[in-house]
Amino acid sequence: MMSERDAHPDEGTIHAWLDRQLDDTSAATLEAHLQRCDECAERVAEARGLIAGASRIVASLDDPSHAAVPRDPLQLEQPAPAPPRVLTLSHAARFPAFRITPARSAIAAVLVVAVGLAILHEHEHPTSELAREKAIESAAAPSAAVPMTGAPAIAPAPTTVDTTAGERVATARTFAKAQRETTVNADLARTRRLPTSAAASPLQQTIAASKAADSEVDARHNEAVNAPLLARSGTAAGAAAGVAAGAARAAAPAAASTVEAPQCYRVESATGAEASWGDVALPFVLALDAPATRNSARVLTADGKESDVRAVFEHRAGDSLLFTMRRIGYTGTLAVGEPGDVRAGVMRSAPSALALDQVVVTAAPTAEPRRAMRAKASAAASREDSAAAAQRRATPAVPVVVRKVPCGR
Amino acid sequence: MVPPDRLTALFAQYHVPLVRFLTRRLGDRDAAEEIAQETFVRAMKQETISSERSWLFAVASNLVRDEGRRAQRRQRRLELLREQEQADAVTEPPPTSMERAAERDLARRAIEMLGERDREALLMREEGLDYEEIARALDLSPGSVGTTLSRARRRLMEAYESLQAEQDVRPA
Repeated sequence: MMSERDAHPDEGTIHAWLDRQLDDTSAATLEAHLQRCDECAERVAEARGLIAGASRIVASLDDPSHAAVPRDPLQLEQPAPAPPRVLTLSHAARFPAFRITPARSAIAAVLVVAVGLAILHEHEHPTSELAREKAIESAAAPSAAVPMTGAPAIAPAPTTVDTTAGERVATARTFAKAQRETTVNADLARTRRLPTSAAASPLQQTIAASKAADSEVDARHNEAVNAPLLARSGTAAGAAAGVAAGAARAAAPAAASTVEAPQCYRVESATGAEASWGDVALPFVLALDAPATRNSARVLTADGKESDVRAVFEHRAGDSLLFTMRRIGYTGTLAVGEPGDVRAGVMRSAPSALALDQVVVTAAPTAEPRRAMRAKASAAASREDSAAAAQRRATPAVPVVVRKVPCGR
Repeated sequence: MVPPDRLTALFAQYHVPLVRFLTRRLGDRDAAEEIAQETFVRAMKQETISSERSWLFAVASNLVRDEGRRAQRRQRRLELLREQEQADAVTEPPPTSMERAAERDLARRAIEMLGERDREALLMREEGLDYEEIARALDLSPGSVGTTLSRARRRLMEAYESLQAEQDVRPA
C-alpha cells in the first residue's frame, strides 16, 4: 500500500479527475489517496471551486442578447469517463451503458431539484440556456466525482442566481470549503454522469434526410470515415483538392442570366435538396454590381429575372467571399470558398422579424449623415430580439456549389 | 471533399459551440460567425477529417491567429462605433444591463490576461472537448492538459478577483 507522502497528486491530475478525464486506474489511485490525505482532499475542494468559478467567468463573457444560443443537445453528454485512446467518428463507442443503480437514482433526484431551481431562475432571469446547463453540470459533476469529500452537491449555481459573477466566484470558493466538511457518501464512488437528454436530435434527423437524398454521397462518406486518419493535415493551410470534382457531380448546365454586369455566379444546391435564400429558390444567380460601386450584388432567379433580394459581400481569408443578404424580413449568409472553376459554399437563410431600419440600403446614399446612420444601424442590431436570433441560428446550413457564368443574354 | 451531407451534420453539431467559443475568444459575435463559416468552408475541402471536433476548433483557432490584426482593426472600429452610439444615445440603458455589461467587461479583461494556450484550452473545455481533443487541437501532450487547465483556471480566478478589487477601490 502506498504511503500518503509519495503519492500526492499534482494539481493537473486533480483537475483531470474532477473533469472525469483520468483513466480508471489513476482515478482509483487518487481516490484511495484522498481517503487518507486531508491535505489533498482540501486541494480537491479548492480545485472544484476553481473549476466552477472559472466556468462562471467564462459564461459571463456571453452577451445576454445572444445567450439564447442553445448548447447542442449532444454536447450535454460528456464522453465516457475512461478516456478513449483513439478518437473515432463513432459516437456509439463513447457512451457506456447507463445502468440504473440506487446511487444513480439519488443523483437523478438531485438533478431534478437542480433543474427545477434552474427553471425557476430562468423565469426570473431569462438569461441563458447555458446558465441553466451549468447549474445542472455543477449539480451533477461534483457529487459524482468526489465521493470521498462531498455529499451529493447542489452546487452554487442554482442558489446564487441573483448574484453577480464576482459574488458567484466567492460563493463557489466558500462552497468548495463547505463541501470539504460534509460527510462521505461512498455509494457515489463510481457513479458517472447520467444522460440528461434522450430526444432524437435534429442532427440525426438531418443526417437521415440528407442520406435519403443522396445515397451515393453516403457511400463516399463511409469510405471517408474508414479511411486512415489524416494526420493533422487540418491546420489552416487546408488542401483544396477535390472541390471541383465533388461539386461537378452535382452541377447542372449553367443557365445564362440576362444581366449586363461584369461578374455573375450561379448558385445551386450541392445535395440536390431544395432551399431558398430569402425568397429566391435555388438555383439562382448572383450578379455582382460593377466594380466601381460598393461590394454589392443582385440576386436573380435561374431564368434571369430580378428579385428583391440583394447582398453585400466582402473578401475573406484566402480569397473566399462572404455574402450577407439584404432583404427585409430575412436574414442570410453565403460563404463561398476559394476560386476555381467551381467554388464550394455554405448557405443559410431564415425569415426574421426585422425592423425596417435594420436593412441597410446598399444603393442610393441618403442625405442622412453617415455617422447617425451607423449609430442607428448598430443600435438596431442590438435590438434584435433573442427569439429571432435563435430562429436564425436554428436554420440548417445548405451546402452549395457556385460557378461563374456569363452575364447578359 | 467531405461529402455535403456529412458537412451538414458537422455544421448542425458544431456550429453553435464553435461560434460561442469564437465569440468568447474574440468578444465580437459577427467576427465569430464569419470565422466559423470560414472554418466550415475549409472543412468541406478536406478529404477526410479525423477527430472532427478537434479539427474544427484547431482550424478556428488558427484563423483567429491569422486574422489577429484584422480582428484588432475590427475591434477598434467597433469601439469607435460604440462610443459614437453612446454619445448619440438619448436614453440610458437599464441598470441591469449596465451591471451585466460591466461584469462581462471584467470577465473579458480577465480572460485576456491569460496566456494564449491556457485561454484556448479553457474555452475548448468549456465547450465540452475532452482532454484528448484539446491536446490534438493545441498540439499538447494529453498528459499536460490537466496542468494547463488548472493553471488557466487559477489564473483566471486570480485575474478576475484582482480586477474586481481594483474596481472596488476606485470610486464609482
